[in-house]
Amino acid sequence: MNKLTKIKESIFPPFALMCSFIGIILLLIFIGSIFIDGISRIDIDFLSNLPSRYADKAGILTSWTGTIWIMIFTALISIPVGIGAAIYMEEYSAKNRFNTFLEINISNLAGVPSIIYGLLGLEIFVRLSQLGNSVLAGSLTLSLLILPIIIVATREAIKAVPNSIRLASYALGSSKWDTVSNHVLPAASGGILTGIILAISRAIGETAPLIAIGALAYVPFVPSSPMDEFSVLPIQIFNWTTRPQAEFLTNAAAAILILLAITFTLTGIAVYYRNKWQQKIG
Amino acid sequence: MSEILKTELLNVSYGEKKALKNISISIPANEITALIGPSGCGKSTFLRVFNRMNDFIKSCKITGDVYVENKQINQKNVVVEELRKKVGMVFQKPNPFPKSIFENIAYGLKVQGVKDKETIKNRVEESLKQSYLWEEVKDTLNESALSLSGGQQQRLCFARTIAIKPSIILMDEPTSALDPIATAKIEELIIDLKKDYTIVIVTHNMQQASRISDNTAFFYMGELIEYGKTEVLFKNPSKESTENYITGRFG
Amino acid sequence: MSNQLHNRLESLKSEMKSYFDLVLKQVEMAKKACLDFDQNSITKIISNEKLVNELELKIDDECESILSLYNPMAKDLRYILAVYEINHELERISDISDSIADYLVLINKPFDLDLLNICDVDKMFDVAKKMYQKSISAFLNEDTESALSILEDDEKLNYFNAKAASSITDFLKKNNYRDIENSFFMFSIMRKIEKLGDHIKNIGEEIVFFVDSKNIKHQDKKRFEK
Repeated sequence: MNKLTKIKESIFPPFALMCSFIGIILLLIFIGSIFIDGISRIDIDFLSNLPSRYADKAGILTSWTGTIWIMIFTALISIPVGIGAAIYMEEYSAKNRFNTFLEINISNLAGVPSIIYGLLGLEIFVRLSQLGNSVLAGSLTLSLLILPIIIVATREAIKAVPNSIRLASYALGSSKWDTVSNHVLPAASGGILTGIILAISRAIGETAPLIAIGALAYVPFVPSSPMDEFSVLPIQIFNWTTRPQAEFLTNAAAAILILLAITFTLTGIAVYYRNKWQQKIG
Repeated sequence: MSEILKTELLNVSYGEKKALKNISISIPANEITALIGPSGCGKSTFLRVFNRMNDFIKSCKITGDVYVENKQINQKNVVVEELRKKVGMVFQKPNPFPKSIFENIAYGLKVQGVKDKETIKNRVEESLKQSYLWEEVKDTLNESALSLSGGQQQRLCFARTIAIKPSIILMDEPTSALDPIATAKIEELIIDLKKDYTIVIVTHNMQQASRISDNTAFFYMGELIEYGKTEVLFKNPSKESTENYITGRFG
Repeated sequence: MSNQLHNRLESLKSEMKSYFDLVLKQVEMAKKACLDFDQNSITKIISNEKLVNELELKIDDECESILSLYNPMAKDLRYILAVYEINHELERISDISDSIADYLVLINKPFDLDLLNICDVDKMFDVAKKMYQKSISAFLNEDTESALSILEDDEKLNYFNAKAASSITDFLKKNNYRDIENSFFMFSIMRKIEKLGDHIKNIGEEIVFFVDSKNIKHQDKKRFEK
């Protein structure tokens, strides 16, 4: 028996290590090959040109500006609503059957395929609310998509705040809102920010729902208001990969690098602030 | 001796379970009153009645009259936040906010509406001095409260409570999570506080009750069995169950 | 560590000092009453008894309170136990002085000087007083050497007491057997002074107990010379 245990003991650590690294290695291989393909294509022209039928003249100006617009508006809509809903559910609502039912369903929404959200957004925001194929409609649609992520993460973070802190605050004569805003939210901020990072990162990469609501690849201008039509990087990338010419594949690779750069920068900033906040509190 | 806390036929239940039965008691001002009894006897529930912290337990129902400074507090129109500014509480496990030492104490003042920075600074210093913590933290006020030791954290919780100058301080086994030296320091502090505050302390440590309190109330199975001057109760209790508890024959 | 306990122990100590002083006066007055037939002393001894008894009860009660409230440990515990015993020894010492005063009231005249001299009553009182004063300072200063020397001093009292019968017989022979009744009283008083010494010796033993945690009762004292 002992010998078998010894064998298991000696096999498991390297096995676990291998599992951990496989994912990273595959990712590095992927990014590496994209990098090799696309890095040479990135220059000022690429970043500032409008889309074109000619691969060498095509640029991602409308795409990356569209991505930024969508990102900002999605954040503006989903973050307050998500955090607010989570606070309400955790701190204010009564723990009864109806609310439990509500909570289960919200968690389930996180698993709904994103194309469904796209179709929902198409009907409600584009047609019924008559917002058209605008940045606003796109942001609202994506907000619906990522709302469950933010709500669940915020709720978990709030749940993790020890109740003893709330009691200490109440015992000093604080109101519920004082307690939530001064103690619960700051203490939960690490988890909340993590949730927001995950949610926005997901939103940046979404393609299907935005196509469903009518975001196009060929948009010859930079959006100047939330009611404008728009395009985003993932759609542009998708569009280029369907073209037969090899130059468009290079463009796609370059655009992927830009998209990754935006994502990592965003995540990096958020992680930095999350750590900074946590140190102050912990 | 004025009665600053009083209950008449107080009954508390959690759903079906009766936690306190017909408790009628008067607690005098500027004295230390200890609540003793075996686990589950209702002493912590009783303590929480005075600052309505039982409100946070959904199944809790309270009937009977409770008076703080001669005003009924067990009614719907009472502003609970104002009550809690008058009746402070220190908990069993130290629970400082995950903020700096200074902010821990300043928070209570801000809730009270104190805005002047000088006043806040002075009150923070004053309450840290009263809690015998000033010398140890005066140079590190901006460091996190969580970096302090257990005993220091509990003294910080005391400072936080007395900074808003309540008239009554409720203490729920404040030293049961601390080592003997930290416990002794806090007992000194509690005795010191007697001159400015009324103190009600729940303790499962009978020696602590006999060491520091002026009056003792013995609870058993939700009933108030005996209540009187500590010296009398510990030397010659009048009820047999009190004697059995004190001599360690049960509980 | 507890200030409360130490404060009460300190006030108990000063209470004991007052008690020691009060009983010392009783002994001094007993000597005066016996040797000089001082009426003042006789009346005062008897009237002080009430105060002495009240103090004994008060100190008893205080010991009980301290034990029940503060759970004293180690030396503090031994101290309370010792004080409890010493308290009672002091009361008995005062009681002896009181009964000597009662005798004098009964006799209603001074003792024959010759009798007093032959019996060395003054010397007995002096030894007892010296022992007593040693016990006070040994108690207050926690001095076990002094306490142990009390045990030696007691030997002197035993010596005087052993001579009592022969001394008194000598006196009676010399004085044609007058004052026989008083001689009986004298004999009794000498016994009482010896008993008084025993009580002071007990106080010495209690002091050694609480300071050094050694129980030296019923043992050969010579073994404990330091």
